[in-house]
Amino acid sequence: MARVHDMGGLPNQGRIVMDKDEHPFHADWEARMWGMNEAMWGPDSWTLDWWRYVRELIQRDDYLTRPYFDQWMQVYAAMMVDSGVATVAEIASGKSDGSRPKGAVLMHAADVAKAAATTRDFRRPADQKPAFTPGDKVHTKTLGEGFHTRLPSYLMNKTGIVHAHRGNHLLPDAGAKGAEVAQHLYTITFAGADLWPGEGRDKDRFNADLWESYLERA
Amino acid sequence: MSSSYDPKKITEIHEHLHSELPSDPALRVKALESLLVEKGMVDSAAIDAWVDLYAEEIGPKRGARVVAKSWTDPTFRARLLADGTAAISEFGYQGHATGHIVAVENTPGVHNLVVCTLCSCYPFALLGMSPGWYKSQEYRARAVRDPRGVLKEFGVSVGDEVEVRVWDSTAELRYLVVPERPAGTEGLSEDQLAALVTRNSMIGTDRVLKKAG
Repeated sequence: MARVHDMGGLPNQGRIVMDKDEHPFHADWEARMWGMNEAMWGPDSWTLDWWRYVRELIQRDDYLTRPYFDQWMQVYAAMMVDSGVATVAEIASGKSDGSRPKGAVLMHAADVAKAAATTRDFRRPADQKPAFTPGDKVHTKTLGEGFHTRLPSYLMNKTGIVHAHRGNHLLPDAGAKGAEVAQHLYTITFAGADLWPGEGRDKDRFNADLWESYLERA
Repeated sequence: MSSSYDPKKITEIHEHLHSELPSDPALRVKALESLLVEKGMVDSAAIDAWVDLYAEEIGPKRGARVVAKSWTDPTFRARLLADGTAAISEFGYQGHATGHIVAVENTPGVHNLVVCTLCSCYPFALLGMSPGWYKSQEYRARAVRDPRGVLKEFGVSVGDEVEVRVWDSTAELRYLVVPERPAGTEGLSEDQLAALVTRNSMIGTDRVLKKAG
């Protein structure tokens, strides 16, 4: 079955429903869930791409129908159970059995302004030169299922041109397994006529940021 | 507090959660917060502080100021296009998901549109909370297949002579569309110009800004 989160280019989609309410938070519980995500440092093993992968593994119907921030709740719940931080019964009731994870560092309200102005750099020093340079023609691989990757299906087995080299960035495929591996990252430009032949996209250009291991020289 | 990194184990946990948790998201989230507080992992006052910050202070006005400055100051514009993160840090706007900002400029012949087909990546510290439609299946699916059809639904018509460039946020780069300055705004101050810049124009679902906001 296709990856549920991998939505780029899915056919037969309806109109886009625009928000009438332009407030940043539509419901209090959404604000609480979003804020919880920001206000928790969490264990180091909860990497960004492990988080994303846990969301991608939510049951198909839940992923497609449950509200967005409700899925965030389920990601945290699943990561907590997986890490032995809490049981499903504790999460369902909201009542702790009294156990506290060792080494949890609490973010206080006084820490928030600084945390909110802190940015993260995903580049790491490179021990290899980039294999490609802008202007090179590259072909994307086909990556199977059963692991996390940031190569979308609609860009698998396609030919594009290297638009820019972006530095040596942490590889999500490794991050979702708790490993810190960096690879050269490139913005690749695909022609509309190549991605969507016969659909009248000849004047459009589609760009994505792809790691070296997703690419081969064309 | 290690993690298994095992998709099979997580799939089983999801099934378990699906059958055990209450259906109402508000109840689920409330229980999670109570539990995290009891476990010493979250301080409710810190949640309040984050929510206040993104409800009041951090929002699309930040991006609008950056765009307005790029209209009035060509050397700033050059810095923004060369290194978006360094340029927004001049305003103190660095923060969540802005470690690798790439500014892309609209011109009479080019229109840029930003999407995240795999999840919902967005430059939060620069544009604030993302709109619901940005996270919807319809937008994520269609922006990379029928961008002109998407634009039409947002009331934006781009002529056949205009190249549409779509940017799928598959890595940690976050794209900021720099819309064109509206004609007839030569006398306006930077603050007045910033008031003309819409959030959607910085995502790419708006193109021709109005002279009077």
